[in-house]
Amino acid sequence: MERSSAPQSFLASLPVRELSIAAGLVAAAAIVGLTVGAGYWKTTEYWQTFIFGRVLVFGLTALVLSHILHARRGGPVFVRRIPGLTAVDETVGRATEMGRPITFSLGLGGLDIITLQALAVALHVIRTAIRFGTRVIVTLADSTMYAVADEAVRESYAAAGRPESYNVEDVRFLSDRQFAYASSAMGLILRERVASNYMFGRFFAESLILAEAGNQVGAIQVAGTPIITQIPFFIAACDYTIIGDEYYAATAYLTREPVLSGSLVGQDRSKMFLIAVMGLGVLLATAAMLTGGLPVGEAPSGLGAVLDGFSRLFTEAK
Amino acid sequence: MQFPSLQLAGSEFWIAALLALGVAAGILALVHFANNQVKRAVIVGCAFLAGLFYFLEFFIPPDLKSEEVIVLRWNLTQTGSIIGNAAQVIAGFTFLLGIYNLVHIHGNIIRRLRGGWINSVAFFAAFLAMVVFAFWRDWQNWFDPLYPNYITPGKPEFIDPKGATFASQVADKLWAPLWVNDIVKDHKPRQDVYTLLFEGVYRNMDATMFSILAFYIVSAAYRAFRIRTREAAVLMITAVIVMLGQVPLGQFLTNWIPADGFFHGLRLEEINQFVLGQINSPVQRAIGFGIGLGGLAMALRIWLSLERGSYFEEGS
Repeated sequence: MERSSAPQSFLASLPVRELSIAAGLVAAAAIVGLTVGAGYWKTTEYWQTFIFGRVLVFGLTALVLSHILHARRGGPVFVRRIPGLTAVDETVGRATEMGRPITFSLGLGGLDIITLQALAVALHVIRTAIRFGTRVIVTLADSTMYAVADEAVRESYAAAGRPESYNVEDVRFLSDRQFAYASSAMGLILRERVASNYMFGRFFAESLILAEAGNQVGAIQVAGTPIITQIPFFIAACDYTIIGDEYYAATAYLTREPVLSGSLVGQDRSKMFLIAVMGLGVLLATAAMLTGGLPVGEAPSGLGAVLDGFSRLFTEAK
Repeated sequence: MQFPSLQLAGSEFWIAALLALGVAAGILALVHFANNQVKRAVIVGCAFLAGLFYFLEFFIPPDLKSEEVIVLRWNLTQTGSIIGNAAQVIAGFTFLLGIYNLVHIHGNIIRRLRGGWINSVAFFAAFLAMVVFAFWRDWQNWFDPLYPNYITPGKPEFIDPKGATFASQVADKLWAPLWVNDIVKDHKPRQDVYTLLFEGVYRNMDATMFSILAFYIVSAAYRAFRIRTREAAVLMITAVIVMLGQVPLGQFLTNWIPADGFFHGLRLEEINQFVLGQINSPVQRAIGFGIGLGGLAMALRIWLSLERGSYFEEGS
């Protein structure tokens, strides 16, 4: 996802000071953990069930956090082009030329990071659309999220100096039932004959219903969801689809805020770490197989035992 | 000291309720009337404290026996469920906002007789029917302390479905005739109006919308599989192999290849398993890893209020 703006070695790019703070945090957490669970430290099951998974997640959290802190001191970070997000100008331009509205579906999610990220993208589209006087209709299925979205969209109009242009009917709570929401959003897309249709957030079976409705009216469609099972439907029916962690990179990409881009660097470094762990696991498993360390129906021995211990380090914490 | 449980009674209950209301009203007033800087500080502070609680609740290892996180005799796990209840109460209030939004939009459509106003009339009719009959039927569950006795055999207030004056008893005690609150007897399905609306109308319309998906999958698949690029060709070939590998016809086509011979991997069901298990699953997991790490970074940014400019303009 990221690449430093100026060429420099990997080691030189490491945020040493922040990583030291992160290491200190990990050490402090370890001390707290040992104090709290002092009675169990000799129990292997306790470490495997409650400790190892937490240490891994805490380590990754500290890594991302250290890069966020580092980015506050550093310069801008290059983020590669994400076509779906670059298309915002195109979709708004098309809607402006055609004199038709844009619909933005926030999906079925409640007040969680998935829907908040979708709202951030929606607000960017709305801010662009306000400049051209184009209408954006935001639809949602969660009343808690409705309260947040209504306030944020209203604020966007006020910040653009056009509070009077905000229409209460442009942020719509349709229904909290999945297919009632789908039919309502679908009807809206067809009745308004929208020029562009965005679908960002938590989607399930209704994803394709909405995407096909947009297709029927010839709308440009941009979609993004972290729900892996729905990504193929969006790819089949939409012009642009945001895949995987691109979804969470959206705000960094759209705002170019160094702190947000810094978190992308942290994500990428975390990914490198996980890839290294996987590579090591593959090597260990292969070597254990070749040396007979994984006999069928018997306890692992030799390298097999090492592999067994290694895999236990990455067991999900209870 | 154990964290106080929620089982409060009498004056304790009312004091706690009034205290909670007071705190909530205070925070709301602060957010509403304060200037932007104070408002921002309150929101950032609340977000940080709430995030910190769950951060500690997750990262501090629990007790091996109770599997609950206890720090300095403060049970974080139990407190988490109390906070969860509070969040549900807040969500309940926001539901009223959602209803207001629906009524406002559909009311405007009817008032101005915009195109499709009849649909808005249908909305109001459906909305009122569900609310009235649901409340009329179930109000005892919420407000009548004797209600459990009406449906428990042996209790003096029990309404015996086999009794001679059953219908009049129901009408007297429940203030609702049988067509509104059909007492369940002999495991037969209820036949009151609410059940008719929910099971007979809503459920079927829900299923109808779901069934539309089948047709949309076909049209989306047709567009995706049209061979216009190399990628589309690969997609098409892979899809055909996987589809054939899942059905008996596909397995029949290659069952002449020995199942335990050198070329058994060329049988369609084997290729299908290879594509699903060795190509599709790892790719999905890789995407999942990326999403997980992205979610972690996003959660950190929200917790520490670093999402600058994403929701509200800087300095607003």
